[in-house]
Amino acid sequence: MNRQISNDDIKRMLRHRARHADDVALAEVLRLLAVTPQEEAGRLGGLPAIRALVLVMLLAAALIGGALLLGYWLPDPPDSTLPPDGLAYSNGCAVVSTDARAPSGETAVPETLVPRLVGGCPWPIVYDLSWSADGRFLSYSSGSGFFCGGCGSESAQQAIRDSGMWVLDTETGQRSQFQPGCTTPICSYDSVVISPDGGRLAYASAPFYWVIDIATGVTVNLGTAPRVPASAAIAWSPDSTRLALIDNSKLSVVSVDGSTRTTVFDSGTSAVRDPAWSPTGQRIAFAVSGSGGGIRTVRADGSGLVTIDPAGGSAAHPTWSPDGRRIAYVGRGPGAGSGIWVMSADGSEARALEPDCSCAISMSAPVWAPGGDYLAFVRRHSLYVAALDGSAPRLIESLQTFGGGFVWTPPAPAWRPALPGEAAE
Amino acid sequence: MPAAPEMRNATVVGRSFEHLVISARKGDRDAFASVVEERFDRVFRTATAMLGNEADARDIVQEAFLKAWQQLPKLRDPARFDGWFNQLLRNRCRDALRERRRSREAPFGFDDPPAPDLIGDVAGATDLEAAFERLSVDQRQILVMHHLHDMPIRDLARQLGIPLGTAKWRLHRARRALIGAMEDLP
Repeated sequence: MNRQISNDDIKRMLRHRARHADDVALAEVLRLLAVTPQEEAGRLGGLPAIRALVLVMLLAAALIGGALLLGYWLPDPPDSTLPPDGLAYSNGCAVVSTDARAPSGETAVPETLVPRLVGGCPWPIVYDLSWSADGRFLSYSSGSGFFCGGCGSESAQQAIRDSGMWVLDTETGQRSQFQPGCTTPICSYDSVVISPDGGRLAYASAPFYWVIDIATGVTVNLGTAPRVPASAAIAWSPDSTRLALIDNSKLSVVSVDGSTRTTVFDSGTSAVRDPAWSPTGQRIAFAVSGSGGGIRTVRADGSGLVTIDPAGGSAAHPTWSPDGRRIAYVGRGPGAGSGIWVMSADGSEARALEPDCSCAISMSAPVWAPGGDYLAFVRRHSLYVAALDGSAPRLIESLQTFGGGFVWTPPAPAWRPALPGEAAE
Repeated sequence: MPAAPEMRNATVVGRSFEHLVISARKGDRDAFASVVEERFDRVFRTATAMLGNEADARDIVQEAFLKAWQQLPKLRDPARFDGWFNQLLRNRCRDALRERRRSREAPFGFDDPPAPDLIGDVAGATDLEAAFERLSVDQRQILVMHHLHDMPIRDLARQLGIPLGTAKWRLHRARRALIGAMEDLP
């Protein structure tokens, strides 16, 4: 084969290969950047940092003082539309559960679920908080391959010991650690999700997806996983019998024993991610990147594909409301700005949670409250709860220990499901 | 990609790129975020062109920026950030291609389809793309920098930290390798 190649041929070919780059928003890619483990004292230490810290503390004290003084003179807000408690999140030093009903200006004292994470501050490396459907078990993952800045330190050694997947039984307080197949000092697992029945953990440990039985420790291989899976690449069906898995451009439904696997969507080239089962288990919402992407839903057998948000590659994190009638997602909606959008499950009536806000950067997935009337999310360094009535999101906690200015993919909070007999407020 | 340029301008206004690198080197995370935002588009396009796969490129870019943040204190000359970062990116791309090759040999699950080979995973790959897939990471990078980003050879030499003549020679060799790979195609 004797072919002539001009510079223009090379340029055209390279532009063709890089074409997707034009379609992918910076925020969409940066959301994969997890909290970096750059909290080493050596890196942030030094006189300038101390001065800045003192300044920030003084400023914070002044602000808190002002807020308390203001709160003293203002009447308490009405409490008829308050969100429920049981909102679990990582504040960088611990996994806590807070009461989001604290009136503005007051600080709720969070209940500590898991104290002194991975060696304590400043090692904010906890991801993938998820609850079992009965609100008894909370799972999370700890550890990061990026993290070994000072492996000789005691806190780093503690972090290494604490790495892996964990399940907290909130009834007994017992914590169980899982490190299946781990041969490295830091046992890192991706997309860890507890099954709704609380019996299993699904996770990605490259190059495979796995399920581990919490009681027996027996693992099942569910097939190949991407080399570095997206933060949310696995979703359990509500009945805990199937999982939706992402493998780059494919969305598959796999039985929990690995015996059946059905590809229900294949984009060909564009990345697919963030699967989410509808509460009835009939449909799966997911995000597709690239031009022509957006939020889509498909039936669990692969039929009935619907594009409900043709916003291009900037949409992510679709999550169903508890009644299955609405979907919240992060991205650009039909209007200006970016951030959280809420729409009907058929794609109609989309509206921005915060109109004209460009706030999709550094935002976690939105999480529905059990009653479906509030959304919780972490943005940049802070945890917010927003009512769906158009009022401004309420700041629950500034997660100052949570990684300074370099937190592009904050782990999402996890709202504990309503317990049996517990009325959703 | 309408939002990114506004964001980049907003974050960089008032501070030169070199100053941002200096601040980031001292541990200023916001400055590093601005560095990333400033360089992201070019880096991502480079990685996508080199790997031919958007998902891989996303992972590689993520890893390269994290590595950069971790190792930034070791960068002595902030003006050399681009060349230094290109080296990080090249190393990550090299790792990714090695892993891709290894994954072709790894056992697969019960009914998993075989991994796509190095050529076939680019949908609609042309012969030229197929030939490009046979090049080394160094050859890919120099072609991407020169032909995709229209970088003059003098700048290319500076970024790669090599003499001008060496840069010309490497570019020539990369082109020859591409032509050779084309001729070797079935």
